[in-house]
Amino acid sequence: MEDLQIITLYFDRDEQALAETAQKYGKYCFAVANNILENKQDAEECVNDTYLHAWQSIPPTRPNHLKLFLAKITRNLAFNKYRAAHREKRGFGELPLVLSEMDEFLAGTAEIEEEARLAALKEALHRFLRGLTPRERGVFLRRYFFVETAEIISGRYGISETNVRQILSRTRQKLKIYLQKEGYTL
Amino acid sequence: MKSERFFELLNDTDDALLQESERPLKERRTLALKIAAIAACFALSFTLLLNVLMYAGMGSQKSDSIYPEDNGYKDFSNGAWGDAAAKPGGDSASDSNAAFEVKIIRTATLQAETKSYDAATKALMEAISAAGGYISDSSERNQNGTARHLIMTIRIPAEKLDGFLAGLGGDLLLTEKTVSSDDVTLSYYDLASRLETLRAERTALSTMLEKATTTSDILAIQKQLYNVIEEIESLETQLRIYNDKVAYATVQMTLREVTLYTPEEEATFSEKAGLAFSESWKNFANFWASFCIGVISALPVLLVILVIASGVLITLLGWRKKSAKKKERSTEKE
Repeated sequence: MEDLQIITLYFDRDEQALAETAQKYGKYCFAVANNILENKQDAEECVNDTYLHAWQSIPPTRPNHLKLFLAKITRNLAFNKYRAAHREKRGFGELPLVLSEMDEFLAGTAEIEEEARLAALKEALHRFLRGLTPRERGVFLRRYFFVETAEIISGRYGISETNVRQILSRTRQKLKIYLQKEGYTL
Repeated sequence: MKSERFFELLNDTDDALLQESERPLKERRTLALKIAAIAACFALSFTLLLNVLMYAGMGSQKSDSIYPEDNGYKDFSNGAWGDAAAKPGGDSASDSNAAFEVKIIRTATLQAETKSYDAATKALMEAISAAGGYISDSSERNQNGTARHLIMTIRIPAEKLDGFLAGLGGDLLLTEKTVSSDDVTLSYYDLASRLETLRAERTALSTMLEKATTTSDILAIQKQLYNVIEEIESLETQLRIYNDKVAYATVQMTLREVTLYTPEEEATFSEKAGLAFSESWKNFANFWASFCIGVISALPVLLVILVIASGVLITLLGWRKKSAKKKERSTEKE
């Protein structure tokens, strides 16, 4: 079923929307959650919670890209679950590695709590991403949004793992300099 | 700022950028080529009056030449490429109820030594056969007829890997063992989802082609359809490869023939002395054998050098004799 039709079912409050969502994007959402949690049971719970959140948000939200809308919900839920389970320390797995890599370019940046400054930072981040080449942007997002390993990213883009790591290292360095220029460092 | 906070911020990334990251670069170039091809077709349509006659026959045969057989789709859905295969995207209600299948690629790297090379390799082959595995490639080196060295790539059904590794022993001593698992679930189901989308596109294009009436439309849809078919085949191949790698773990094995295991076994003094002497004698013999072979192989060059050197020497001697005679004559005159 097309995404538009599924969204229409949500708006009609037809529970068939959930079955269609599960059939079309269930495995995809599971994979997004599992990349973060690396636990089948937790990932399945996240996916089920995703359907509930989607049901509660549509309407009034009318997502332009249903797949990515669901991916973001799943990612958020999975990350909250991860944080609840690892309050004291990060533990092992791919997500802790991703967070450690982020520490590299975030070292020295100030904590931001005010909504206005957060919105400005998000806009700055979007400008940064748009300024990257498509390959750099793709590799960056596959790593830091989807928490994919270098091997998977290299297979996706047909480049070597070494190349992926080099691109990530370069992009992190660029982001660090960019955040300094934009005044987000102490 | 904490990285956890930044990770959360990324959740607001623009959907267009995320969607772009889902497509491999090759596909984006293909999309650009598709647009260029359709534009070129429309530009050429004004000069295609003669081609209408040529393609008229092709148009009537299009139902035979365009619709490919579903190569591999039915086989794939029946799980012909491994018991871990899942249907790409699911085509029935029961698939949505099926448990999510995590796709793990397992690999192992082993280094081993043996004092009984023949017995160890025989036991290894039996263990591979018993586990339902096979050897995908192997190479054997033989240094001076004593130290044999075997390098193999072994494929073992993934569920039998642990049993296979645990069963290695006897004449074979493992000196190094590394086992790793790679979760490719996201990529796998992403590919499967894209494949489903492309198949739907193929069906839609085929329907459009049936209804197309003008040559320019037929050409444009055909080009699009061929590109879609090409991409479907590529994705099916990638999924087959994933299924194969998930179904069969890959074991890289290196087996060396030794006279003494390292590091556990401690040799006695006489063993060490005997070993040192025999190693030394072997090296001495090898050196002279290599030297003789070197001389023999260099003989033609040496002969040439000898001839040239002899010529130079004879010339020099002759010149010296002449100059000595000249000196004698000049002394006599004085």
